[in-house]
Amino acid sequence: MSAPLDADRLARLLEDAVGSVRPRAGALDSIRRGARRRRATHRAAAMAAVLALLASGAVAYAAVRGGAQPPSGPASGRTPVYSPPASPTGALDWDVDGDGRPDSARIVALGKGDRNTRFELVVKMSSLGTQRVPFTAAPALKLPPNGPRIVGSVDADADGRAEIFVMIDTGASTQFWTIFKLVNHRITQVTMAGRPVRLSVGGSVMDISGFSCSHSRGDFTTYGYGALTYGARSQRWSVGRDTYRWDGARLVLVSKQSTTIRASSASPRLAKYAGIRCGDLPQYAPR
Amino acid sequence: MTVYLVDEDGTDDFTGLFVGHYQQLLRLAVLFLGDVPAAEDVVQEAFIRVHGAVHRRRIEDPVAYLRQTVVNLSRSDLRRTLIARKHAPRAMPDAASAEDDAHSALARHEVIRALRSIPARQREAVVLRYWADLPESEVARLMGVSVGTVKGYTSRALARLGQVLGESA
Repeated sequence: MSAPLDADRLARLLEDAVGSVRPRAGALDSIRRGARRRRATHRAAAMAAVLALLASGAVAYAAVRGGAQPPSGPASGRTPVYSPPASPTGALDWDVDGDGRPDSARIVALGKGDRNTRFELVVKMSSLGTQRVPFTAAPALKLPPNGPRIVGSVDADADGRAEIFVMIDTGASTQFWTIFKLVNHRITQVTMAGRPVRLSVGGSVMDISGFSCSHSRGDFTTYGYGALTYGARSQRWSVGRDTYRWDGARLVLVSKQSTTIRASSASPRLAKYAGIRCGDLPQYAPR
Repeated sequence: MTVYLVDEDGTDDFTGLFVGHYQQLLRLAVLFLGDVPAAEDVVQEAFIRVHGAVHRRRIEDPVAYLRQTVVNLSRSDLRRTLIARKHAPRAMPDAASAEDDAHSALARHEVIRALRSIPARQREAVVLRYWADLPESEVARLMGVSVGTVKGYTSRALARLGQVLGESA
């Protein structure tokens, strides 16, 4: 039977184990960008809530006055802001296994209720049969209508097989997407820095994120900008661009650039740091 | 050259907080999680949460707030990882398993492996008590348990770590 470990020796061993762990370059910038994005999301969510309240008040007022029905809105009690899309989680056709024949994908919930965060991507491939990949997303309550949505599919890495993009979280103006791809005959969730990839998409006037994929170079780039100062006379922005290469189911960081520029919010210099430029993927997942 | 430590608007409270505590909190999260990218995510999230509050001077002790947030997030991150692992499809030989070894230098470290072999609460207790050098009362507050429970955790953890490290020596 071994003796208990001496506390001082443990402290030395632990210090030795993590002594080489240092902040990576750009950590502070990442935090600042994240904080700005968080504030913008909160502001937009608050604004949406106010608009929804005003809209529902208007509907109630119209009902009390015996006025006409809302012009194009869904059933009473819902405002256009939260109107549900036509199809629940999407079921579309692409060539995921690269055999030239269409495959289909859909999302099913693994748990029940509004707070469920466990889902499964079910991909039916013509050459490999049906495969299921569990993944986690924001609670179903946050994701209209009842969970994550398949955004679309595109051959982002130019390997002849389509990757599937899925929206897994959303705020009022920012969405988060993840990617699934076929690797070694298995549908796998793509990772970035050891975690399931979570791409930030869209945003507000003050803060935008997006990504692009390049068929010719086979690389994948995420980018974004955030306002450092936003006045009538002067607008200063922090812009950044991270380039990744595909390695199986991983996106491996190749280069990281960030700088500060002065430009108006309508400037083309900023526009190149916004939007989705990857095949025919939409700018936002349908709500 | 540590350019990333310099705030373009000049040194402010938040930059000072980052410079003074980020590295230590990152190492704390690494000891909890045994994984550098996951630890970076946890510490970044903690700093994002404290960012706005520091600027509005809403937190009296930002360092304590950060430490508590790192402890809580590490715990939920670990829980998520365990659930994900439970429901994960079988790893392919050269895809997911290679991912696990990406930070093998750390994972190979004997004491990190030993830490991963003890229950999460015991790990939290010994890391906070002996590596972060916090008094038992502070460890108890951070973990939301009594001082007696902390003593129990650390005692069992030291015994188990002695056994594990003794066997591998």
